[in-house]
Formats: sequence, C-alpha cells, structure tokens
Amino acid sequence: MIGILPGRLATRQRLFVGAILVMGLSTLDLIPLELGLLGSVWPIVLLWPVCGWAGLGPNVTTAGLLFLLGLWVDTLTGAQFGTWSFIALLSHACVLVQARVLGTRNLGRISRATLAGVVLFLVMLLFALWRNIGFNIMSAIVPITVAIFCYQRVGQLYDLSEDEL
Amino acid sequence: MVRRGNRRTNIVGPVIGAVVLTALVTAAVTMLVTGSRYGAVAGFSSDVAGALGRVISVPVGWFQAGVSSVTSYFGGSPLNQKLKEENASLLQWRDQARAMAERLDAYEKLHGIAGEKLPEGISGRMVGESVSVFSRAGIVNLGSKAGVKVNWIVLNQNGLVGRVIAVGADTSRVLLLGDSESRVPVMGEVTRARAIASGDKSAVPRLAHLNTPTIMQDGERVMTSGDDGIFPRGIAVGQAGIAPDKVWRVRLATNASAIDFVRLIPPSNFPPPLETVTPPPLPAPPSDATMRDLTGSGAILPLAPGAAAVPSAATPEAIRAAQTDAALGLTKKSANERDAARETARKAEAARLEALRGNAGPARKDAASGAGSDSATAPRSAKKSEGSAAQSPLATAPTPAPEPTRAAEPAPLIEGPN
Repeated sequence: MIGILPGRLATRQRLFVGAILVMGLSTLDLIPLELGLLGSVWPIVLLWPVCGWAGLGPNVTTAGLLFLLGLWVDTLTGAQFGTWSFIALLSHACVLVQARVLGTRNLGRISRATLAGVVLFLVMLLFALWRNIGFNIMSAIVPITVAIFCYQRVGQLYDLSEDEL
Repeated sequence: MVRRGNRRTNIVGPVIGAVVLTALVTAAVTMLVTGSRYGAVAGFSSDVAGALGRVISVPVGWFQAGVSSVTSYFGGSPLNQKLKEENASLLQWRDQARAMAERLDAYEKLHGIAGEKLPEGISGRMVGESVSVFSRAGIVNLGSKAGVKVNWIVLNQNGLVGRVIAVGADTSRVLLLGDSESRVPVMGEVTRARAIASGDKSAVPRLAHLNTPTIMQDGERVMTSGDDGIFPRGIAVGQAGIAPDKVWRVRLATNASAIDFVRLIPPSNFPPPLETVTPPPLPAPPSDATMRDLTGSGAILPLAPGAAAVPSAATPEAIRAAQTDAALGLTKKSANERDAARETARKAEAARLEALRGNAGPARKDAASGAGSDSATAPRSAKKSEGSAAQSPLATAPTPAPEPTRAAEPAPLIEGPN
C-alpha cells in the first residue's frame, strides 16, 4: 500500500506533523457541508491520533498534544472549552487499556481504527449523557466512519510503537 | 547497566505519561464544569475561527461562483423566465403588504397599541459555520467594534438564524437554532399554540412543551412568540410538522438556502418594573372571642347579609334540585304578576268604557240640538266602541294598562269639531 509520506520521519517529527495535519483538517468543519440528518461529511480527525498514538503507550507528549488539539477543535466548533480535550484524552486512555488488556496492537489498521472509533463513540455518548446535551447518533456515526476509512491512508503517519521511543 | 537503565526509563516514562494523562483529563473536566460557551475566551476563539473562516470561504466562494455560472449558462433562459414570473407575483404581494402595513399602523394608532417593530440592526456576513457533533454555531464578521453584544438576534432573508453567544473584536459567534443549547419560544401563526423550539443537533429542532398539541397543524408556519423578552415577536422560524419519530418538529426556514448575509438586531429586553409592587395590607385576623362564638354556633364564617344559603349537601343532584325549585318558584311568581297585570288592565278598560257611556248622554243631546251630521256618527261610534268592547277578545285578554292621561280624556272621540 502506498502511504501519503514517501519516507519515515523521526518519531517526534511525525507526532508534530500529525498534530498539524489534524489542526489543518479540523478547520474544514467551518465549511457547512452536511448530509441532513446524517450530520457533517467531514471526518472526526481526532480519531487518528487517538488510535495511532496509543501504540506509544502512556506518554507526556501525546497527552499534551491531544489536550491542545481538543482545545483547538473547541475553538473552531464553538463547543464549550474542554469538550473535545476530554473526549480525546478519555478515548485515548481507553484505547491504551484496550491495547494492553486485549492485545489489539497486532490487529490490522482498519480493525484498530474501528475499535478506536467504537470507543470514541461511546465516550461521546457518555459525555452527552453527563452534560445532558442533545446527541444525534447518526450525526456522530457518519464522521467517525469517514475517519475510520480515511485512517487506511493516513495511518502510516500516526501509527507509532514503543520501539520508536 | 545500560540495559537496567533503559528498563528503568521504560517503566518511569509510562507512569509519568499516565499521571499527566490523568491530570489533563481532570483539567478538561474542570474546564467543562467551571467554564461556559460565553465570555472573553469564547470571543477570542470566535476571532480565531472567523479569521480562518474568511480564508476558507474565499476558495469556497470561488467554487460556488463557478458552479453558479455554469448552471446559469446551461439553464439561464428558463430560470430567467421563472424569476420574471416570480417577480411579478411578488410585486403584487409587496403592494398588498404595504397596504396592510399602513392599515395596521392606523389601527394601532386608533387603539393605542404599542407597536413591536423590529429595531434597526446592522448587516454582516456569515464567514463560517461549524456543524460538529456537539455544537452548531456560526461566525459572523461583526464584533464589538461594530457594536454587537451578546444575545443579539441574527436574521436573514428567510427568518431567524440564531443569537449571538460570544463577541470578539471583529467577529461574533452565533448559536444556531439546531444547537442542543438553543431554546426559542415560538408559536403557531394560526393556532397560536405555544412551544419551545429546542435544538437537538439535528436540522429540525423539536417543539418541546407544546401546550396544545391537538390544535397544532401540520405545515403551519411557526414564528417567535416573544415570550422570553429576548426574541422579538413575529420572526419566521419555519414550518411545524410531525417527524417520523412522532415528535412535533419545526423545519427551519433558514434551511431553504445557505446562510450568507445576515442582519443583527438588539434583543427586545423588556424593561423591568420601575417601582416595586407592594401588596395591600390585610385586615387584622378575628379575635379569639369572635372565633369562639362562631365555632360555638356551628358556623365557620359569618355569612354576609342577603347572601344565598349555603347548601348543606353540595352534590350535583342537590344543586340540580335547588336550581329546579328556584326555576319553578320564579315561574310561579312571574305568573302571579302577569295575572295581576291582566286584572289591572281589565279594570282600567272597564272604567274607561263606563266613563264613555257616562259622557255619551250629554253628547247625544248636543248632537240632537245642533250638528245633524254628527248625530249619526256619535252614537254609531259609541255603539261601535261598545260592540268592539263586547266582541273583542281583548276585553278579557291581557292588554297593556292604559295611560292615565288617555283614560281621563275620552272627549276627542265624541266631541265634534268646534
């Protein structure tokens, strides 16, 4: 499979390039393209670092970057500050536990992304229940599904492992 | 040694990472609990998103213009014809609307009704619209420099768009009607059924707390009711309808086309009452002695003089029987009064006829000595009146009581021309 990057950069560089890519693609949310009741067509790009960076294990850099990326998405979407940081970090922690307990590290890229997508969806649902916010399930499933399918291409940039530290 | 040091690093790193991860989750929770979508930080984020939205909207605008030009090239002529027809019909509607507005103004002046005209606002453009899972918000290129404040109302040519929730220096963030935090009091245009248009992250907000769901009509236009004192009354919101989930929802009027140019107007903000309302002083409670007397006589409270008796058993049957008795009593009383009036009228008529007979003798003598032409007329008229009095059923039938002045002057009937 041909990845989007020709070579393999150093781990830290890949972390920051991935973060910048998420920041850039998140701004696409400002273009109102919708599928009616199915919500926005733009993927929830936070899924990519949540899934891919879990291969590094618990890490200060990834946690900090996820926190900042969440704040950035809050800034763009107009959600309350902390919303997407909370969702991204909690999903990341769940994926970390999942990788340790279930040993999902050896699965394929799509399978890992799908599992991370399920976790992200459940965390979003939990958040909506906690904050008593209206939650349209279809408008959440579609962006997550799009992000899972896109991960097949961009996963090479985000898939990190403990060996790279 | 090297291997042991690496192992220690590999253990410490994840632990620190886990601690930092937990701390950041806690920080996010704290921000969620203590923060809000309003305030200066939200205004700053609005400016950031607005700047990005302006940059993004340039290529999007080019793309839309390109699509529009291609579409108009291939379908320009039919579209032109359609627009001409639409324009002609709209001109008629405009004239009618102006005439109705003038009449309405006149009526309001006549009745002294305080008009609710939309205040003058400022126009801007929506440079970004974010439709994410947890929010539906837009960015307008007008901020505090243009005088915009929180809670200003945002409209476009189709109707209500939302309200301003955060103001930056150059931009404002608009909470769209579909956002889960959006609540707008609305009412049906025809039925006046009140409801709250409650956003739930879909394009068709729910009509919550609908007070009369049975009279709400499918397809009825929904507009703001102005009950909250923020949204002016009468702004179009959309059309009501029952969704497949059997819930009343409103199809937003602003979904008819992309939101581009918008108008921002200040909220109604009903002024609070200037003077505090003080309740009137209550009378002093009855003394203990009064209460003791009342309870001793078996009454709870003394009845006002002339007040109707309180039924001892206020069952429906007892009330119905009391009403029937009252009606019968009223009927008997009115019948007695009617009979008395008839008797009075009969006596008055008899007295009048008697008086006529008494006066007829001298009149006949006068007629025999003088006016020959009247001699036949007077007895005839007297006989006629007698006969009519004897034969007429009105003699015994109830007749209105004669006026005293007419009863006292029977002369015109028998006095001839002088």
